Amino acid sequence: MRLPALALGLLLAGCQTEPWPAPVEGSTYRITDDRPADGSELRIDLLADRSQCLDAGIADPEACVPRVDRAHGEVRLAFLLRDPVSGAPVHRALDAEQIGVSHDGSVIDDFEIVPHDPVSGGQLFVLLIDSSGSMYENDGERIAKVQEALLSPEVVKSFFPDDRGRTGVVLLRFFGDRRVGLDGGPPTVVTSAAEYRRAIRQHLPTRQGGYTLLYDAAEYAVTELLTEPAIDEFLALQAAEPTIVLLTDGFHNEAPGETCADNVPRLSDALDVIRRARQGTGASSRFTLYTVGLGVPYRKGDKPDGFNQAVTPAGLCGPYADYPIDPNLEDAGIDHVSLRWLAEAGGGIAFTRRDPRGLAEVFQRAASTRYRWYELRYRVPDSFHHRYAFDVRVSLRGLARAWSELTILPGAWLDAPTGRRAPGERWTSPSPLRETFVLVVPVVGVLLVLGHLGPAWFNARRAIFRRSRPTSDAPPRDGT
Amino acid sequence: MNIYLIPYTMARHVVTALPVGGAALLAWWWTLWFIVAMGPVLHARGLWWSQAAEGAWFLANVATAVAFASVLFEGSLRRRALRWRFGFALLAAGIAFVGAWLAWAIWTPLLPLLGGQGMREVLADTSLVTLRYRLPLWIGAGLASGVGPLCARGLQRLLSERWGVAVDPHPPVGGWTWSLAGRSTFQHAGGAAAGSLLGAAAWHALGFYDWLQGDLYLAGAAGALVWGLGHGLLVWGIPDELYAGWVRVLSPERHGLRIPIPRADGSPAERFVGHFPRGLDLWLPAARGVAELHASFVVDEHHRYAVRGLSVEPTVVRRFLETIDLRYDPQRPAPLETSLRMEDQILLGPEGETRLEFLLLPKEEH
Repeated sequence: MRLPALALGLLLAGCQTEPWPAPVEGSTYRITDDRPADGSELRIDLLADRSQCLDAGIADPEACVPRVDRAHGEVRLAFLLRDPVSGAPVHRALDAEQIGVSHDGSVIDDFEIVPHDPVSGGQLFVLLIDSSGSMYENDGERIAKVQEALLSPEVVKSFFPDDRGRTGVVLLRFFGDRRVGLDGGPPTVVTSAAEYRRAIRQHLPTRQGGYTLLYDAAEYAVTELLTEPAIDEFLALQAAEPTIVLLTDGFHNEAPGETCADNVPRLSDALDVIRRARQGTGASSRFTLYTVGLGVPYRKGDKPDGFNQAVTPAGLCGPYADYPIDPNLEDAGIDHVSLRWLAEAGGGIAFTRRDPRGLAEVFQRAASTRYRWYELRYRVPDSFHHRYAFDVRVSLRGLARAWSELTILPGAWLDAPTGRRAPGERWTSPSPLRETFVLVVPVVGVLLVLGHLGPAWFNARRAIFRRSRPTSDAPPRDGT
Repeated sequence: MNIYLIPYTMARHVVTALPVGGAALLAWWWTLWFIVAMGPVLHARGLWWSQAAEGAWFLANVATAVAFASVLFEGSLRRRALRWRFGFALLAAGIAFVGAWLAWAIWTPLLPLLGGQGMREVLADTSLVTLRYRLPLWIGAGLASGVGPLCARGLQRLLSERWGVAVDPHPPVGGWTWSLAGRSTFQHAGGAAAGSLLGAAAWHALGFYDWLQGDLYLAGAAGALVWGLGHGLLVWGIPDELYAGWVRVLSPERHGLRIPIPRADGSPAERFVGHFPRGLDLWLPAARGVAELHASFVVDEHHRYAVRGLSVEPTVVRRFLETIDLRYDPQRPAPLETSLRMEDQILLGPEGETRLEFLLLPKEEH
């Protein structure tokens, strides 16, 4: 009686009552649920098991479930982006440059992002172009670069990938305290490539002037503009999400004699507006704000590292806090630090480009296809790093302040069959469990054969050495 | 496995390892299949085990399979009745299973105490692949895989000798002694622990060194297989009592004629060979150089076989690189004798006209 009770007790001691860590399918690994960072602007939802994949509406759960391979040091994880408040999926165009991956604290360089399920919904591109006086200097050299980039066939194709009218472009310019359509009228949604080309050619070169109220333009783009009836209607009808591109060649500057330090409270206010706008629940709150600086940075150095950094004179201006913007700083280049701050708050990326080709790349990137979910594949250089529990952290770079992590617990005793890497393939494919038969059956077969080799060899030897039958010259047996 | 398939050659020392190794490999396969294939299914239904216990499952399953296969193999060689065969095998398996879990239950709380403050966090990681800190688990499970069969065999001997239960048609010979018990305990405990250590070494080598394999797939299989093979080689060998000695005629006149040396009950005996019409166990014609009372074959209570030369006529034992003259020397009070080995040839007559051979065959043929 005591023995079975003891056995039962031992078995119960080995039970796990919590659902996590859960098994990683096809392996002896376990995985915990993901732990998103507090205060993330986007939630990176790392999908830790099949049920989470199915709950996320992913049609191909086989590609979604986590995969691991100790021999090759590989890990595959699926993730999607969610609104941190509502939990609704947020579709973004991501590439490897926008993702950071760390394995137990070590930054991973050898990784790949595989997008899945392109979003078929519409997209609204808002191009907010600085039309201050500086853009038209030197016979409109800068505005000509912008025009060339916007009219390049690749960019047009990106903005209007098909003729179904599901994507639209809002062309705006800002100068002084005005934010108007390219033609000077109210904002309208352009839904055809021909109309877009015509508007660019006809209205963009038209000379404007005035100071650059960059922060006000950004605030306007993420608030008032997106609630304009025409814009709001397009977003609702096409289930579209807005992508805002803010292009400038200088500094936020409202009056003569202002210094860089004067911009500190203004930028801070603008960031607050943008962040608040992103915390809403409607389509208008799911915007992405890209900023583009046309020219060169006015100083070395960049925005201080870290999210939610308070704007300070040192952080924004470096040693030039008391320098006047016009003409000193503006002549030196563009305020790339403000652009970085704005893009970061808007979930986008800040770019600095000098030529039409560079600008075209930026526009194309802003218009790239968005996907519902992504697969992250990475490899550590040594399988040693799979011999203990490790944290995998996935973070967004530039797009938004977000990271999430989970813990993977490799089995300490056994492994499923090692994955195979096909010739030319970068990543291994998991081997099915039935491959264990390839190992077990031959080995058991060899053991069986070896078990019969003894008598076989014994009898063969006796036959060869004529022990088992009489010699040929033998007389017949006498039968006794 | 049938004793008929195991000739009395060097191969018999290896044969036990084969089914035990195969059983250990199947235990590994079963454990892996259960974890990988059944794990997600059971997890979805809320039945799930701690990852910390996975090693105990693996070791306990292999230890159970090893103990079961070892005792079952012995039972089949002894022609044990099925109920006894499986009864003893299950007893051994159960003891091994509980013993392996006990080893885990004892070692797991001790482990964090060994590493000191700095190592506690590392050692608490259930995913840590380490031989150094898991070695006691291997040894404990190995010991359990030896203790199970030891208890089963001890019980079987107890039933036979103390209460006269006819468990085996051919029960172990010799009564219980402290020496026998000590030797058996040493063989079972030492051999089983050594087997599990060999398995641990194979598991570690394939799991640790990338140039060999670098993961625990083949490492787990090799660990279990080597453990089973080592256990089979070291713990229990096929005893001589399962074989009976025979004298077989190789001479053409009566080629193939053979007689058993021990009596039917396995007790000591002496068989006489000669040319004498009656009274001898093996009659051979004088025309082939056989004297009236030429030689005898003896077996003692320890199943040791010998041949004695009883005639002044030439009597020679011939084996590989060795020839022994057993011709009777009238100056000596006792006949010359020599121990016999499998397939020794005994030549009788001046020219070796009559040839006999000594064979050890499964006792079932008796």
